[in-house]
Amino acid sequence: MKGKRTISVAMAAIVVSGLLSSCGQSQEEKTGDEKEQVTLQYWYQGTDQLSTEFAQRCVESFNEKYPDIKVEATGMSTTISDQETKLNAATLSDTYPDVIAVVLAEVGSRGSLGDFEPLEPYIEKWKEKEDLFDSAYEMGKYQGTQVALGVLPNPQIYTYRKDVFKEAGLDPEDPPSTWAELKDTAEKLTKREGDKVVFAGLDIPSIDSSLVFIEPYMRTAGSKVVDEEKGEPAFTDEAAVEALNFLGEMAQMNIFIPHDQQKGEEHPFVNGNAAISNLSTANIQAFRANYPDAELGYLPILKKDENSGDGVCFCGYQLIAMSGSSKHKDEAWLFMEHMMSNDVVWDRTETFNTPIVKKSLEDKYMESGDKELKSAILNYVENGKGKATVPWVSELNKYVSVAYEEVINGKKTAQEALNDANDLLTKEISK
Amino acid sequence: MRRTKRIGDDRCGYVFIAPYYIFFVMFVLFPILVNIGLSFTDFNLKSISFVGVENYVTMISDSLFWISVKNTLIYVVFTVFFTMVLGLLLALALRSAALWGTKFFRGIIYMPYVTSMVAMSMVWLWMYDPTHGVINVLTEMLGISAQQWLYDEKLALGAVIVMGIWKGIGYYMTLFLAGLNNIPAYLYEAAKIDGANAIQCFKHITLPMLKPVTFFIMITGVISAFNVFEQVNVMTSGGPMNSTTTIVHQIYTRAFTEYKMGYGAAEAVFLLLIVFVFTILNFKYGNQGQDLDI
Repeated sequence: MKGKRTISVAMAAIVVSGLLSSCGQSQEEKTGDEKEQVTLQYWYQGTDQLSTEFAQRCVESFNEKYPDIKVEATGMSTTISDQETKLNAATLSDTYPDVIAVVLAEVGSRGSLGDFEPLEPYIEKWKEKEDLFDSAYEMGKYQGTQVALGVLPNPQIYTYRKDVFKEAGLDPEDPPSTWAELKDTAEKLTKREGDKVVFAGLDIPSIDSSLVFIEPYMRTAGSKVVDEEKGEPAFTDEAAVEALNFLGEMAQMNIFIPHDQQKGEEHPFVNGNAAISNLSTANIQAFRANYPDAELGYLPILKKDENSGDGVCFCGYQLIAMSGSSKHKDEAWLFMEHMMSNDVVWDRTETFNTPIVKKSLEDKYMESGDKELKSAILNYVENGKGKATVPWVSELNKYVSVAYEEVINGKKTAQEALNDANDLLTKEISK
Repeated sequence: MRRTKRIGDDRCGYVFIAPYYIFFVMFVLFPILVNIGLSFTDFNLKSISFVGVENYVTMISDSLFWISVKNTLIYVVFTVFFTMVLGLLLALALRSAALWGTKFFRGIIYMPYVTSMVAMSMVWLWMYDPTHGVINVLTEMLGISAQQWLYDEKLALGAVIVMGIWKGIGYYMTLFLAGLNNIPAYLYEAAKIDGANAIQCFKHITLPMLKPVTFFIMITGVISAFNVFEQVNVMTSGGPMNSTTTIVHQIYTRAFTEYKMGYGAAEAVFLLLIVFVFTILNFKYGNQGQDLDI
């Protein structure tokens, strides 16, 4: 009897110790690996094939230069909220990557949390520091400190289908350049079956949670949206109201197919169901892959009217930053230098169809590829404005996007919706 | 002396159940306690300080939070009710394994339950597409005009509820089938001899005998429905105009996109309390009906 009990207890102990030891095994193995060579974690933007293959090429070429530094590359969703979730989980679990690709909004939001290592000491010793565009430095500053370097300007370009313009009897070489012309053209290009829009004249998002579509209209009308110097919201002025009124009027014309601006692959234009859309260069690439025979044109940056000043478009920026908690900062900088090298910058430009950020590549860039698109990209980058680098950018997006939804659905006037959004935002950020 | 001996006899059992309790403490109890502690702080990933009940006071005046509570309650009531009713009807229809195709249909209906919610949400996103989605194609065939299912504030929550019902119906059906198979056949035979018809049998035998299963399904269903998140996040992101935001979606938004971990923790404690109340109800009433005199 006693022997049976001893055997039972021994078996139970084996089960428990087996379970617990299995939890710790991988950690020991990892510790062993780290002693042999430095391993860097690099998180990049995008999980699509293009982004993954590009990241892989960068890692491979870096490993050829530095065989003792292993880089593990991981793709992140391009949706900011998903990225934030991943980064917050990494912060809490102490698994933050050594090098990370961020978007402009995150320079402010993550910068305020002290996520990034100041880069000035590294840049000082960098041989190619003079070759990088000034804007690539400017975009990566949070409260005057260089916390990131711009690697990829990401303008949202108003793209249109020349073939559809021709079909509708419109001159494809004379596209709309003002708000009124855009409204008129969109109406002419819309195809409906009863009340249902089957081909949209213009892609107007039903949900624009990052304000990529809305902000340019507000800025073009003259609103600051955010007063970055004072760190205050500034979207209840007459200009912002006028812009939102205009978007509300267009939405009421039933010229669009509902979609979410953040979900680029679902844009009706990308799927061949719209004539004009506000697209990233990646979306344009995706469209070209789907419809290689379609002729594309690019609108000039839209002005409010003939008499008003130049319009403003949205131009985000992808940047590269080093984690403040990285245990291998020197190695992380070597990888960042590699990511800013001419070979990688050129590969990035060709892969994603975006402008270069190095002065020494300017001529080469202008001489290659689709000149019409490149000219549009440069124009949009020069006149573009990205997200404000304030810590409360998520809250701003949340309340203004709801205001936009209320206006396009006819629930509130633009003034009411923006005032309500401002009240809620001010109450929240003043705490 | 006797007492010492009994503990010695049970030691082996304690060792066997230890893994469960170790994991329970590590991954359930400890996180809950940490969460409760966090709810009294302003933790924002960078700094932390004690703020007392400030988060709870803020929560009371947070209109968005109460919208999410309202949406969650609507989701819970409709999802649980319709999933139970339809699950029971399907279980009754597919009760007899001897009929042709029964096993096939049981399998097909159960399949959504074991597939990923995120993957299924993507599928339903396409089905609800306003222009080319299959739902609008079907409604137009029935003479109903195309709807903007996920972009109309009056329809979006309903669209998410329908998806939730579809996803859970197979699981409920399986539980009801198990309950139905446990009802002794002689009860029905005796009722038939006494002249009872099918409806009377269902009302006086099937329903009372299914009471424990029904209560179990209702309680677990309610708890699960209160935690609705994935389909909301994938299909609507809480919109349009916050018409589909739920408590867990608010917790996620506040904690993980706005870095208000303390406030998110307070909202999580609110949810925990609701789930706790339903769990207590389960303990109190869950066994009722099992001791029917048969």
